[in-house]
Amino acid sequence: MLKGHLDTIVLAALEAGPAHGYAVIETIRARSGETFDLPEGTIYPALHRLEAAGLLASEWVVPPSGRKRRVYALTPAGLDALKTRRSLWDRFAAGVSAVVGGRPWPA
Amino acid sequence: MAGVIDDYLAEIHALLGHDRLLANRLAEELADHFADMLGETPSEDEQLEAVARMGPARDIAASLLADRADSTAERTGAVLVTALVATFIAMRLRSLWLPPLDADGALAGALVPFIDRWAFVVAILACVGWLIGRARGRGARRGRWAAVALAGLFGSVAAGILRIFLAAGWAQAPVLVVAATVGECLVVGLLMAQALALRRSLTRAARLAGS
Repeated sequence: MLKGHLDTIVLAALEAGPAHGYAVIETIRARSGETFDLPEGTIYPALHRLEAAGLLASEWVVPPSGRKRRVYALTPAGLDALKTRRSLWDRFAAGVSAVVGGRPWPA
Repeated sequence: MAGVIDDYLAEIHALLGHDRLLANRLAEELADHFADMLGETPSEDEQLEAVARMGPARDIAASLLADRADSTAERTGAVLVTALVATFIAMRLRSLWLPPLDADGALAGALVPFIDRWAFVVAILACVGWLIGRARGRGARRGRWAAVALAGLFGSVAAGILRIFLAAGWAQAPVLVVAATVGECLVVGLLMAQALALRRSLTRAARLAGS
């Protein structure tokens, strides 16, 4: 189930600001309360795919620590896509909660 | 970082070796990831655990190649539509500006415009098949539809060239007709290159995904 939402989760993890792959994984793990403990290798294809779709931009940066790393950031199109996907997710989650999380049916 | 991690990165390199840029970029990203995770001098057990958390190198490469194949298919579709438009314009110009070929009742005179038109119709139908495959997410079938469309366009272009030759000869043909046919040849050539790239891309992705 998570697979279909991975791109949205990655976009949301980058909403706060640019980050490299490992930081994206850590953000997802922390914000999900460690519910999403993904195989870390799934994140890099997702980052590349979102960049190819124009939703992310990336560049190599050399921080003061000295190790070159690739940093990803949302593009304006990525921000728009995140807003749209978030709105769809809110409706979907509300619908599922109403059906699954409510009282037993028929009452 | 030596040992297990180096072997893992070398495997990534080997799996994506046909695309050096992608292989280098991913290997550098993963090396940075492992360095963040493990620090300077990890033990072999720590390296093994980090590699296990990353998942099989083959899965990462397969996922990247599947995405690449999708992008190549999208580009092929755009070139296919451009080639159809260019072929349609060239075909219409030939019909409007060249004298009819079937006046003397010769077989070639009737056959050439027929092939020009119907090969184009085949290409249009294949394009529709490609669009349906796109909607249904069937990458391999899209490759086949692109091949059929390419064959149709080749037929139409070949018949178009023959039509110019039989109707007026290259020297006497209107410049606009010749220019449109040359443009049609270039776009169809581009489509052929793109279709070959798509075939390679789908083959690599299928090989990794299936093994």
